[in-house]
Amino acid sequence: MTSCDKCREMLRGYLDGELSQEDTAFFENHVQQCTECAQELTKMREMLNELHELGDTPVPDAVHEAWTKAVRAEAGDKHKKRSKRQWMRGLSYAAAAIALLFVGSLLGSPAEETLLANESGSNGYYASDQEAYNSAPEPPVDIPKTGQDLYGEILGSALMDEAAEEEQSFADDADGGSGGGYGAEGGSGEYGAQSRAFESEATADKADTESTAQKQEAKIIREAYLYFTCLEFTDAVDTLKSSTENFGGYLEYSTESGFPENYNRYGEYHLRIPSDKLNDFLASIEGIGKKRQENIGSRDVSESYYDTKTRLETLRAQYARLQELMAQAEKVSALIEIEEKMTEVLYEIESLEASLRNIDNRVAYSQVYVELTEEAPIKEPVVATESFGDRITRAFYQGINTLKVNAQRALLYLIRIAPTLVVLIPLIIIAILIIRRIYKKHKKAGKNHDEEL
Amino acid sequence: MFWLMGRDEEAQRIRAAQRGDASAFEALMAEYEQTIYAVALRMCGNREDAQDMVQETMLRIFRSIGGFKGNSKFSTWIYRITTNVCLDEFRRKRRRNEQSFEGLTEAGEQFADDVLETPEAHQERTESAQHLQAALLQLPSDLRMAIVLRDVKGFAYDEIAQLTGANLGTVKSRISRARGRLRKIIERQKSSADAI
Repeated sequence: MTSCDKCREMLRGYLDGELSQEDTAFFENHVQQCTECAQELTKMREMLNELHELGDTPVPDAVHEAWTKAVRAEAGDKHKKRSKRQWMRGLSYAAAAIALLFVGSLLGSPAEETLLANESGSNGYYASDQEAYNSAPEPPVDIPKTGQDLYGEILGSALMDEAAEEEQSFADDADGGSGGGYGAEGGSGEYGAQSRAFESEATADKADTESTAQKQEAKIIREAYLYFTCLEFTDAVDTLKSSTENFGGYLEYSTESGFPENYNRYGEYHLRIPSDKLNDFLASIEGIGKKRQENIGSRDVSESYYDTKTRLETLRAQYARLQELMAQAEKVSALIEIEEKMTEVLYEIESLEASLRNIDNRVAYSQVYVELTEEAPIKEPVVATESFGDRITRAFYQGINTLKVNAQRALLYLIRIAPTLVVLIPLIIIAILIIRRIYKKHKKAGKNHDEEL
Repeated sequence: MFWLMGRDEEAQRIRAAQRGDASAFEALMAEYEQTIYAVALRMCGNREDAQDMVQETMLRIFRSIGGFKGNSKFSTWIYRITTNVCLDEFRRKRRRNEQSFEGLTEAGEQFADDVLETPEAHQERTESAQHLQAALLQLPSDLRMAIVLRDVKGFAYDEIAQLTGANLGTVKSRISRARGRLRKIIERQKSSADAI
């Protein structure tokens, strides 16, 4: 390679100031000596200067106007499209929210139905409900005799089995405080449906089959459960309480809830009524409302009662014997042993005495559980003789009331789901933003891949 | 060489333009407008085509500014779009005219005549500038772009590499070749003119 060839290669680097000191010195030295290379360098410098001057051309007004106009037009289109998109998006969100509210409210809970349906007779919903209520058949209170006999036989044998189990548990368990397994207090649901006529027949059957009980007083525990609905709630409660008092009973426990203005009062009453007056008491409260359910049962605990009594007598005799032994004992160790045994026996005696007292109490005073539910007054059905115009007017107002009720339901539903929405909505927004970002990225990647660095 | 706005001010204008504010975009592009026009004019040789190229470049920037994330310098991003638009236009025109402008003296002279015939271009340029522009048009588009960016507008080599997507060595090679060929074209033109 000649020096001229080398200089030609170095020319660009020299003009751009990229050569090393050594190469620069070589180049300049050669140019000083070589006319052709010097001429080339000069002309190249002139060309570069002229090229540089080409870059200072000012932008004509027409060019500036043209692109600014085009950009403004583009911006206007973008704004219109964005506004329209935002408007449509807002509308669709609002429509979806309203639809969701109404669907949710229509699927609303029974509690809300009760809350809204108990308003005093101003809506068509209520009126139609009342009509359905009035026309619904009454549930039967008395079981037919044939069915009753069959059921009584089955229940009677079940009660006998129960009594046998109780006797066994009584014998095994020194602590009779639970009453020999009589079951949970206030167990109103354990006896099944039964009429009062069956109850006295079953009692008579038991008395015949139990030979030990024939010679001793029968120990029968009676329980009754009644459920009423009533229009006059206050009067019903007053009658219940006064009857309880009149028949020598007492109120063991009660609870009440609801509001008179909403006709939704509810009461639960646990009564203790002298067993010999139970039937008369039940008859006295027949009219406090509409009887929806009645369960009456009895349990014969005579055998286990008298077995307990026998056991008690045995223990007392044992205690008396221990007392004699203690009087005769000479050694301290024997005294201590006898005293320990006496303590055990005494404890057992006291437990059995408590059990017997409990049974006596429950035999003497039957447990009666009464539930009262207030019902709203019945509206008179619409007379068919009203004019068509009146019916239209009525239908219109019913429609408005229905709308009002549904709006209230929707609001209640919204309040109920508000905590869920507070959590859900941010999550949904984040998901939408992520999806949109991914979509935009893909779109822009395809369009501008050669422009973005 | 470049008149730079405060970084905060430019960032604010970019954000406004991303929201679709046309006024903010115009103010933002005021700094870059002259360079874009100069590159377009020297690449295509006539104002009409340069105007179209500038408009297309500005629209493309406005449409895609929403996707600018600040990973590169804003100026680099803009000029990248500018070079792409210019090269795309050339390819499109080449396909439409079924004619290659690369290395054809006749075509370069035809363009030169167009430039000479434009009244405003005639006022703007000296005779040597006219010849120089005509000579530029005879270079292949990749060499022309390299020399326009380097010697007309003074971009640094690494910037040119980023704008054209070529590596540094290729850019330097193109500049060398472009300068050499341009010199020869100019000499040939002068020889022809002298002969006339």
